[in-house]
Amino acid sequence: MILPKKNNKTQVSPTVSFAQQEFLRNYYAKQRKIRTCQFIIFFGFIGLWELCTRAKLLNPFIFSSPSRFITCFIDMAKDGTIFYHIGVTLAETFISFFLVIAIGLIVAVILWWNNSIAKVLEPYLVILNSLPKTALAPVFIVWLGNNMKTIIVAAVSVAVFGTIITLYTDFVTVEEDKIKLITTLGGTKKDVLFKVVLPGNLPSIISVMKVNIGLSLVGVIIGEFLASKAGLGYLIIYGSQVFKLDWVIMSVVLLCIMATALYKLLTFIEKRVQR
Amino acid sequence: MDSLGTTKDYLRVESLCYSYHSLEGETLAIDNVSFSVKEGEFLAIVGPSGCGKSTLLSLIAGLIAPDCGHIYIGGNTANQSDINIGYMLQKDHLLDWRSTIKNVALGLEIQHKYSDQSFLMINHMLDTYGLLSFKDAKPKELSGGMRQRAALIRTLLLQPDILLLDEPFSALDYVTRLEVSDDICKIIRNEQKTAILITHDISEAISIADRIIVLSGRPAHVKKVIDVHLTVEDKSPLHARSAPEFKDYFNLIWKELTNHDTPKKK
Repeated sequence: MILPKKNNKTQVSPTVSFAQQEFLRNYYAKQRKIRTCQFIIFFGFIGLWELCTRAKLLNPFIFSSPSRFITCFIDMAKDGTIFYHIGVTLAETFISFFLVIAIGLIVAVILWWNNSIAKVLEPYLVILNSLPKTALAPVFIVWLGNNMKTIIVAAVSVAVFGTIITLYTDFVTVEEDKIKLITTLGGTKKDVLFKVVLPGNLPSIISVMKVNIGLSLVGVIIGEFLASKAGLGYLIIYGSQVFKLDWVIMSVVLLCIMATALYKLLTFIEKRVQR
Repeated sequence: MDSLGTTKDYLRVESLCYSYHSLEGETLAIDNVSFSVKEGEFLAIVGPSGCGKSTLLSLIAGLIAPDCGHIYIGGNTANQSDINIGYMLQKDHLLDWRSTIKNVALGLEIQHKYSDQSFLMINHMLDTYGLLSFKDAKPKELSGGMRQRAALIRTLLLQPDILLLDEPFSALDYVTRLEVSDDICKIIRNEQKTAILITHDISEAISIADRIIVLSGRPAHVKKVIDVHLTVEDKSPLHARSAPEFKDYFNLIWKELTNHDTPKKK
């Protein structure tokens, strides 16, 4: 009989040895240094930008400035217009994201299920994946009109082909013996899909989602540049055309925050799922 | 289909052939193999690696269809009989994302046989084979032996009439391997199952089996059939190794395996 393995958790004794204390002190000192440097870079950059525009080294009309885009944001927040633009961009991003994941999963499952379809479609997927999708955006405007449909189709087209290829490749690399196991237990191809392929690939599905939330945002902004009446992409392109650089810079900063928040959201979901 | 199998032969394999096909050509894996297994018997099949042993098991399990020949189980052809075949693979293949109890219930779940009664049965089996306190543990928290036992319970819960074991111990280190093979064999004897074990380990075959079939290298055909009679009181695999006849059987099988001349028909 094999003795059951005890789950040994690392036990921290109340009396920590001197070497351990030294190690911890060094570790936290290094962490502090890293944080400090990050803050210096951030505030240094903002401060320098503000100073240069105040001292007329940079033209604030062209380069905007931290104080100008913050005031601009507060003004637009007062009448609520900025939230409308943020909301439009966010909604478009989420719709495209869910469409990409849904289409990607469904098509990848179909390709996994039927090897012949996969073989036939392979060259087309490769071509569509390598094609710069921005090239298609003007075509979408002509076909679908100057509206949200165009933006979502453009965003989906940016991410969907890569998603299909990645998921399909992960699906077919499931261990052959795991499939044999399901067969020997009397299972069908459907059981293989739901008991092994999909749950076994959950980590790769999530990592695909992490990539796609960013790509969807890229696609939405490209779409908004070309065809829109609202959204942060619209503010950027319209602002640059009428030389309201405060709008442009403010939108870029908001996009930075939005992209980070979306990524963090998925990291949070990933942690929840892995538990 | 006329019933060729006698009451004594539980499983009969008759002049089985199978070839693999690829663009480079055809490879004959199984060449005219015939043998039979009695009810409750533990049969071992030994042969050089890559000789087609696993192919033979896949054929018996009905995972692939033979090119020629027949397989009779309980007097019927394999696909007609409603006899359950349990298959144990080389590795345990417990699914990482499932707890022990969910892994063990996988077969029942797939065959939609999961009920309150089976829940009791699962708990009883986990208890009997020392896994009850680990029922909510994930596979990576189990030792090699425990994982293999869980894999066996997963197979046994489907109440198979014949167990096919495809080198189930080969992925384990030597000490664990001895312990686990001892364990698993006790479980199988305890449940009074008919079993076919495939292995390339001669001592493992002698210590476990009632009868041993020696296969030739590819294409596989039966070289010799050896009945194992060991004079030990306790016929558990670990004790069997100390039987005086053990080394004679070993030498006999070793000679058959290393003799690459045209096989003499038995």
